[in-house]
Amino acid sequence: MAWRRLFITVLLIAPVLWLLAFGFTRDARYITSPLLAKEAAPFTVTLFDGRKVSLNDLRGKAVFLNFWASWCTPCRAEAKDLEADLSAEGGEHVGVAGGGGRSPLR
Amino acid sequence: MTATLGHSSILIALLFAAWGIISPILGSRGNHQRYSAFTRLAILAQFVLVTLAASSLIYALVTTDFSIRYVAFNTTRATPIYYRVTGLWGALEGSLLLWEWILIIFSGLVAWIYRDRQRETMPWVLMVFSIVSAFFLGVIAFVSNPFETISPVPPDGRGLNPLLEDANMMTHPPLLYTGFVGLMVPYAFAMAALIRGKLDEAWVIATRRWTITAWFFLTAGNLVGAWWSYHVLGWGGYWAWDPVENAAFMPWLPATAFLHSIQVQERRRMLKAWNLSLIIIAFSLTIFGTFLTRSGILSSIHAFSSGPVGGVFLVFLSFVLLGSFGLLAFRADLLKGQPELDSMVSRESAFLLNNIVLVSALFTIFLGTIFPLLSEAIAGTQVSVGAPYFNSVTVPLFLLLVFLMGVGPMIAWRRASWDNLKRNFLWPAAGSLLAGVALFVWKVRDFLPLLGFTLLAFVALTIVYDTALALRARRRTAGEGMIRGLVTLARRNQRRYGGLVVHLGVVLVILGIAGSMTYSVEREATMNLKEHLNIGRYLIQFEGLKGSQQPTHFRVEGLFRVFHQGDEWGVLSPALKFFPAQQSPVGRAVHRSTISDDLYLILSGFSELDKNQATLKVMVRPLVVWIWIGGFVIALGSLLAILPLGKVTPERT
Repeated sequence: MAWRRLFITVLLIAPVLWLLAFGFTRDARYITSPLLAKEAAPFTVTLFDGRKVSLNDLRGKAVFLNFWASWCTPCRAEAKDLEADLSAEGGEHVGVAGGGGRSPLR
Repeated sequence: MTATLGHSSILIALLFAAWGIISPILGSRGNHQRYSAFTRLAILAQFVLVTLAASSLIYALVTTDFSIRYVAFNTTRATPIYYRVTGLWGALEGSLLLWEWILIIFSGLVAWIYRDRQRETMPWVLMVFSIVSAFFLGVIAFVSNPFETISPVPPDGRGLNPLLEDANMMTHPPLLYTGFVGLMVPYAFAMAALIRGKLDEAWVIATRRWTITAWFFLTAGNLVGAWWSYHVLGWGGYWAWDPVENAAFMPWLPATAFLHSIQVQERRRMLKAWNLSLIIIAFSLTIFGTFLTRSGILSSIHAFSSGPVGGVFLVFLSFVLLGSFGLLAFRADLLKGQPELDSMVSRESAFLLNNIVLVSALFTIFLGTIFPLLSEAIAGTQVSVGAPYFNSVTVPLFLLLVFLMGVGPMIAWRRASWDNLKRNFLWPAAGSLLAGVALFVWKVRDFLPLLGFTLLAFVALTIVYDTALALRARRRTAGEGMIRGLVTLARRNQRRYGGLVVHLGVVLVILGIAGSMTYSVEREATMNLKEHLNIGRYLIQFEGLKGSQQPTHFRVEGLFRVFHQGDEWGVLSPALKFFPAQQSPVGRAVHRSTISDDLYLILSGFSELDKNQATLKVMVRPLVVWIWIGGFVIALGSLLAILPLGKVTPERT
């Protein structure tokens, strides 16, 4: 009788432990996006100089859409580098800055 | 030098822990008395050695001994002395040492307090302490060593995460750890009872005060954590149902259930297996929480750096769960033949229902917390479970719990008579219905908040009414006035009145949560100089930006003049702090509390400093302040229930 209860106890607890152990096989911070391998949603943004850019205009190019904030100093440095690298590869870098600046910039 | 001292203390303590585990087993076959003394000695030795180890780490932190890796990573020469001390629990390795330290302090206290009592049980209780302690010591010694040295010695350290540089760093982690560790005491007594096969009420009665103490620290730890989140993290909330918050909250649920159901066991000798299960679950959840925070299996803002520690904790958790429940399954034959419930309308059934609700809440929160794992393991899809799930499933349960909180303490044991029900509940029920109608007429029109506030009124009224009746009786029999009467009542029955005061505190906490959950308003606007915005009874005008260099960071403040119904309240200045080592700024929100609502300002962004344009997020959150006031009331009630104020001599008649 006691052995049967013991068996049931183990049977109940084991799945929980197994599930927790399963957690080690994955990286909790790595979250795949449901947008992967789907067509990007079209958008149009206004640049600082008043021109407009829409995704359709950039068809055929690799587009890097970067969201950042105007007060973020490292982001500014990064924007320059991204710009340079992507131009060299024939791609396009569109930065959308939030924070203090109301208008998106390129 | 310090590193060697600390590490070798841990190693020697580990030997003593091993001795503390073996000794009671030897004692059970031979010279009981002598081995009892050895077992106690093993605890005492661990206490001294771990205290030595913890002190050496604190010493190294205070003297910024950067030859120790942990010190180099968690403090700097510029760190003020109190944050150097709190660095002890600022990261993984040190936090485990603090844990072990508190654990062994508790063990030492128990060993000392029961030095002449419970002679048969104590060796087993102390053995359980030594097992838990051995695990933590092993982890500290071999897996996550805070005394690891670093070479070459860096000229300056990296410092704490800036979010941890807050006064609450001194309270929240130690309180929570004390609550977690405190649950080990009733757990150890329960295990000792199971090992010995003596499953009467003795272990429950012996640990009552310990359980209330642990419960209090657990409650305080969670509330202080909420307070910290509210006033530092700058998102205007105090609870996000983050996995690690859940991990801290989950042990509270079975602990609360246990606190009530042991009264049923004490009075009626029922629910023995249930109580044992509850305390095993509560203790396992403290280990689970530690595991969750340190394993990185779920993403959370609170997570420590992960490493091999997670796996080791999982092994220990398996050992605790399988070992404890296995033992319970083995001894289950001894638990038969308990009295049955006499009636569904009785205090024991109210407590039983309270237990079922608390355990259901635990189950739903546990499920929500691990659901991302479950979904990925079974369906292979990634999901995240957020506040909407937790709120919608727990709110009805907690409302039911509030209702039971009103019923439980007043209803009669065994079988409540109609008279008993009428006497205790007629007026409070009528009063709360009246309050509900009044609220509806005033402006509370949504069902759940209306029900919530009505139930809270019900609980408060049952307590006030019951106390008023008792006071009237005191006046008649002893001619005591209100204050004298209250003092006599409280001292005559500390546990009951302590409990009622705690209930009042919980009512206030839930009032605050309900108010801020349902009636908060929020606005966000980008403002130019002298522009203003209106929210609720407040008008907020932007007065400019101010930048300043602080010792550890650059600070940008937005200055906002606040008017409350036309009265000027002065300038509030939420800020963004830019730490050199951090990529994104740390917000410093400010808020002003009144008893009816909090005004909460967050600087969410700004343009160039000289352009004087800022984006401000404003929230008005009703009744939040009652959460913290409720916390104080809970603390008072717990103290009243725990403190040995001395017996009052019974009245001579």
